[in-house]
Amino acid sequence: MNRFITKTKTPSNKKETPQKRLQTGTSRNESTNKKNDSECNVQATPDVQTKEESLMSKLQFAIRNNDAQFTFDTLSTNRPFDNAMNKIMTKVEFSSSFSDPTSEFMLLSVDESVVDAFKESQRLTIRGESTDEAVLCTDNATFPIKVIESATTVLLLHNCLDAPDSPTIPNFEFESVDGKCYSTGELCSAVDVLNVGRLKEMLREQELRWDWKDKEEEEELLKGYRMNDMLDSVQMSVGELKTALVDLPIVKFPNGRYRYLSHKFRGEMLGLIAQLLDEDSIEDVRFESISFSGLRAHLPENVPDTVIQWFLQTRCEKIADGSDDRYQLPETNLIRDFAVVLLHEVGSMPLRRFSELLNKILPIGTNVDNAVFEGIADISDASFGKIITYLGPEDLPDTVKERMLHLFEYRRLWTMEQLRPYFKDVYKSKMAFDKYVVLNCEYSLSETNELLYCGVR
Amino acid sequence: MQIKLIPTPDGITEWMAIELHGMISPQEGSSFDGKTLGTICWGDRNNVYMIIGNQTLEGKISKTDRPLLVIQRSGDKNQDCGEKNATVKAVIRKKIVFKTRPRPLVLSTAI
Repeated sequence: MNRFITKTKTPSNKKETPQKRLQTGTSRNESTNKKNDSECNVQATPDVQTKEESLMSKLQFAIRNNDAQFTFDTLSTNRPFDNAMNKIMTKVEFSSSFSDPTSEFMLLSVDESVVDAFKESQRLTIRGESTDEAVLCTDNATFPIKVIESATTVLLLHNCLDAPDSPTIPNFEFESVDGKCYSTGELCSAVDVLNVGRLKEMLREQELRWDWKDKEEEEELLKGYRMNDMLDSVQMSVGELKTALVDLPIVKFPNGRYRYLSHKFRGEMLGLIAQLLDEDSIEDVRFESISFSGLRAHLPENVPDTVIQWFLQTRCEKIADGSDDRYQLPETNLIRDFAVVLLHEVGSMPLRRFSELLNKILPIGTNVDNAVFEGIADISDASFGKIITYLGPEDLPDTVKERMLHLFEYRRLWTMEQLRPYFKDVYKSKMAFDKYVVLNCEYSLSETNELLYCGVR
Repeated sequence: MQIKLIPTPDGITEWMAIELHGMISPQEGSSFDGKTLGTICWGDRNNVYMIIGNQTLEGKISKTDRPLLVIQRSGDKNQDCGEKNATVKAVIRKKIVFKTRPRPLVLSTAI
């Protein structure tokens, strides 16, 4: 019957006036009575159907002509509208620019904190290469975006509709559909790992080499990457990128470009600094008091001022005596830097040989405690004595899982405390790292009931 | 590549979404511009009905699980750094969801 109703549209209905409708209503009642009288009469059925068709047409006509009273009267006596139907009905129309591309929007499901950050004028930026899964960054956090495939149509209204107060007289309201959604995305939880891999790969392409003066004097100003260049490729927030840069041997030059210091550069520079520390005649380069002017006066030209400043700021500690330019150099920092330079090429060597080499390079009287190598190298037993193996985070695999696998390949059992220093550059939160280990690493118990991690799931 | 999300000068206003099952598309060679989608009838307990032609959709007003940012692509490109912009036009916290398939509107002859 429904299919039949939808088909019929009598031309006469289009010009029907309310008066006529009233008459029709009366005749409909009569007809209904007749129907009741002759319920068993099969002959009456086509007539009833005609009335139904007519009612549908009248309803369509009433809606088209904003006849709220008739529309309400008709609908409110029919299911499903008969259940406390509001007398206000809302006609929804497409805006005149609905098909315009400016009416197409992307919807991004976000946390309330992201909306708040945006309202507080924090920058929100979508980052990623065309082959990446996009991420959304606030000033300090990164949220992966998951694109949601859906078979629904989402239409957008500039106003918030709600069930209106029901007046005494039926009425129509009008609302406009102003846009449509072409894509929906969802923000996942903020990542707690820094994506340092691509950053290092990018910066190492143009690292500052010891012999840069001979090879790149003319193009010095063009080498390196600006912060914005890095953000174009690295999926990190500005805050996270700054944090990652601090942990790496990266120097910001006055032209705003960042450059990675090669191992060779650092080795040569540290060697010269160690020699200066050994010289009794040089008073402004000592462990307990070292200054920019002292280093500048004795280091060659291929060590730029900016690199000296970087060394003082990241490897030395400022002396709090009121003077602006005086630092002290903790021995451990120099030893660790030398260990990285010595070990990164060879990977591992007998500890005895390593100690001999280190003692030759380090200033006279420097004491080396093996605990100082925590987080950059590991000492293990071998049949011919102890060996030291380089495990500097700077040169370890960059993804957490690969790095874990690398460490477990090197040694079978690790405690949480032993693992943690090797992830300092990628995990800024101790809790986040511990959570990763607990959720993803296999473990066994030692004789003293200590948890020992032995693999990645 | 970076796409910077910028607010509209008026700040973030609140919009509403209507979610329909399936696709709606205009007849070939025409568009929806200026045409009527349907008539919403408001029931009790957040029930909503929409009449589209001879069909009825049943739905509900609901709050979105999380706010939805409404983002509009923008052709503007910062010449200095190649950065693109997109405008956050609004936020959506409420929507009318029509989950069910359209059903034919059946009218009783007795009014």
